[in-house]
Amino acid sequence: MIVAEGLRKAFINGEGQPVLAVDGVSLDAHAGEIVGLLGPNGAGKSTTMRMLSTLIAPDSGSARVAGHDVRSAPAEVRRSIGYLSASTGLFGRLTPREVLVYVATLQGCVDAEARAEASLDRFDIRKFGNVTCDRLSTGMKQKVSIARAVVHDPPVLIFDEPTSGLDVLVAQELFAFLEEARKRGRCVLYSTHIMGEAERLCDRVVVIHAGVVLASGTVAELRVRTGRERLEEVFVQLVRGHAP
Amino acid sequence: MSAAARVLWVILRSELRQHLRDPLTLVLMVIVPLVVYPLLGAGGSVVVKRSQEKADAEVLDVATEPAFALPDNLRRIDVPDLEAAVRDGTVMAAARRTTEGAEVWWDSREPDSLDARTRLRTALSKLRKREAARVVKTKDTMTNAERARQTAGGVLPLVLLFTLLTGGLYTALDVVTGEKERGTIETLLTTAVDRRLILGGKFLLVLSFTTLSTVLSGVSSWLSARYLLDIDLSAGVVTLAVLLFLPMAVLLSAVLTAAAAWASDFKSGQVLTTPVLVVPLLLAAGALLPGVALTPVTALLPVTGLALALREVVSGHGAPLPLAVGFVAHGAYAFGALILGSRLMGREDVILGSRGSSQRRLRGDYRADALTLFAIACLSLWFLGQTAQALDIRAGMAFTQVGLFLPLALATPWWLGLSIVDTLRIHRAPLREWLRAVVVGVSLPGLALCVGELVGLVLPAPSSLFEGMFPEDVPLWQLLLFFAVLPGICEELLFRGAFFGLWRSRGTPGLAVVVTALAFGFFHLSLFRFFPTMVLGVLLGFVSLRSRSVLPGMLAHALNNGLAMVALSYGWSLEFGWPMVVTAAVAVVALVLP
Repeated sequence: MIVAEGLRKAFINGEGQPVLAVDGVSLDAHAGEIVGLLGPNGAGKSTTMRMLSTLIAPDSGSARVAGHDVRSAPAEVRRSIGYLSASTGLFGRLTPREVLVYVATLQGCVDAEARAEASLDRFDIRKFGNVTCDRLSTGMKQKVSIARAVVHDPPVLIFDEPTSGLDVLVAQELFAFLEEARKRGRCVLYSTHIMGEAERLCDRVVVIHAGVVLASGTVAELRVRTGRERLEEVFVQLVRGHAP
Repeated sequence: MSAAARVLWVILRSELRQHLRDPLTLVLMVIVPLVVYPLLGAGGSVVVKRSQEKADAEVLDVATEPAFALPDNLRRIDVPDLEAAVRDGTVMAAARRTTEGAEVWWDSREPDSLDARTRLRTALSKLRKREAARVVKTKDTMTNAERARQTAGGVLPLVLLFTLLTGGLYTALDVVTGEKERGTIETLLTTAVDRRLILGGKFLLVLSFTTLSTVLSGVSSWLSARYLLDIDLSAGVVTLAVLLFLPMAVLLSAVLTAAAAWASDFKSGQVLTTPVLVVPLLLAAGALLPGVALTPVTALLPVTGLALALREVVSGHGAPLPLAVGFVAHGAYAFGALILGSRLMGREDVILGSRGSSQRRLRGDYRADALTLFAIACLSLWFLGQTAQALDIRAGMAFTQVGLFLPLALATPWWLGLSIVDTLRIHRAPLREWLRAVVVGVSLPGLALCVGELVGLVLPAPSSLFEGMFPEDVPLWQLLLFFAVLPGICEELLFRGAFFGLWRSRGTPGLAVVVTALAFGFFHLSLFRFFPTMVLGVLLGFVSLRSRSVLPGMLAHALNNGLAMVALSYGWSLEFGWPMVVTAAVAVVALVLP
């Protein structure tokens, strides 16, 4: 469902110097699988996910999501994904119901209102469905954001550090939702720097550091490869081994 | 309804819903144009008028020598000494008629004294007019009602424009820049909708609000004029004025939305949109200048043309042709702004708030920076350089060259993180290239004369073209310094150095020479001088290209200008003829020689 080959992306930093944020990242993720993108802050996780979501274009390399090329068919890619990150905001002056109908309509759903109603129930947000988002608590807002990302029931979910700022209860609901999505054959790419989340959720992990993929495989395979037991130790071993 | 139109409608409807829930939007869109401006404008005028009437009704004591007719609100008192009577407060003002005119005394410490002085001066002026009227009788055919309408016609475009801009500015910043800050633009961009449609929907929202505020402002202006200021304005005239203004709403909504899209956050959005707020108001104020009238040509001037059209409509003198030209021209400008805006808005680096220029620069493309440099150089020349030269031509030239062009040329590569020496190509050149520069430089005046002659066949230059351009009675060395050496160095660094160096980052060097020459031609701000200076720019460009250095071009440029200064100083008249054609040919041959 997701196939990326040699993605590269550079930016200009504050001093006017080019910085390679992502340097030849290749990865894949399949239907019915949760793949974790693991890395410290600034590793290139978000840039990779933004390229896969067509928010930004890669400088080089290629990627296909749900069979669509991110360069030549960006609209089809976006229709096929549910994208969520800590920086995707909610329309503060709309109610959750209005947000869901709006996004479902823009995603081309002919039954936008029915989907919005179903999402209100699925994520248990019906009771504040008519309150403007500005007046919701952080946890409630995050629930609405998750509902917003998947209101059109896409085959691919790209979630970029979705638990940042979440309380434990909402985070547990999110995990339950993702596990259910996997059972329903959805492909999930999930970035985090919290090892516990990756250990619990991910079928495979891709460790990324300084824009480069250091290793990928199941958590068990990485344990064998590094000779470490805990995922934190595995991660530190891989990153230190790569450190210049 | 097509799929695109349906998406636009969905976005517009959602944006309208969000903004109508924002109290500030309602205040800016409805309350301000409908209530605040009439209160501030017409209400203020009424208050001033009434307090003036009250003050006028108060009778003040004055003294005059000899006695002459006074208005009812002045009472004459006989005093022995006029000045002393004013100083001790016996009278508020005093006047003595003399053979030359009149003397008036007043006391600036006493507020009523100013009023008394004004009334006395008016009385004296009327007296003088009555005496003059015995010789010449004049009568203004313009009625008071017509005068009032003319004044209203001058003010109405400014009122409409100000309302449109203040309302549109907040909406554009909130709907585009604000969404970047709140992260909701990313939410929209991850939907399947085309980016241009997303921004198109936002533009329609800005347009809806600017149109609404324009219409409300028109209504309130009509009510204020009719019921507060007693100006006889028909509703039909105001409706026509508002309709004429609609292309302006489209144009400025597109510009505001594009400026807001370019900004990465609210703060930079305010900085970017400030010129959009100020420049149209200044252009509209241009319609109030004496002697500026609506013609099919002036109707083409952006903003000014439409402001003139409005003035004519309101004062009842609008001829159909210039009005139609103004309307169509501004519709075309609006369409152009929309096309440019939609291209800008289709760029993800712009819409996401990341510096689009950074990505271009990453690819080594600095052509947009070259154009920005050119725009800044033009504005600094037109607004600062020419003002300084009008005050003092020599100091002004030195300021323009050394204070404006030189820093611009040096600062641009530094700002972009490029090598100043390499970008401007301040490199040594072999002796052969210096000799080539001498030959070309000496031949250039002849070439410019030939080009001017050819252009004159199509577009005859006025005989006064060069009149007043150079100062008279100035020593030759000063002419050479200010008009040859300094431009030779600074303009070459600016054009064949910085502009050429940035433009040639992409494309062929030959194209860069031509584009630089076009910019050099435009820069001289004269239709008649455009072609000669452009050809001059092409030759100087090739001198620079051949030598791989900006330095020989400086010599050629200084020689060209210097020869013209010598000719001016000695009163030589350079006429077109075979010698000039041969000289021009020498310049071209010198360039193609190996």
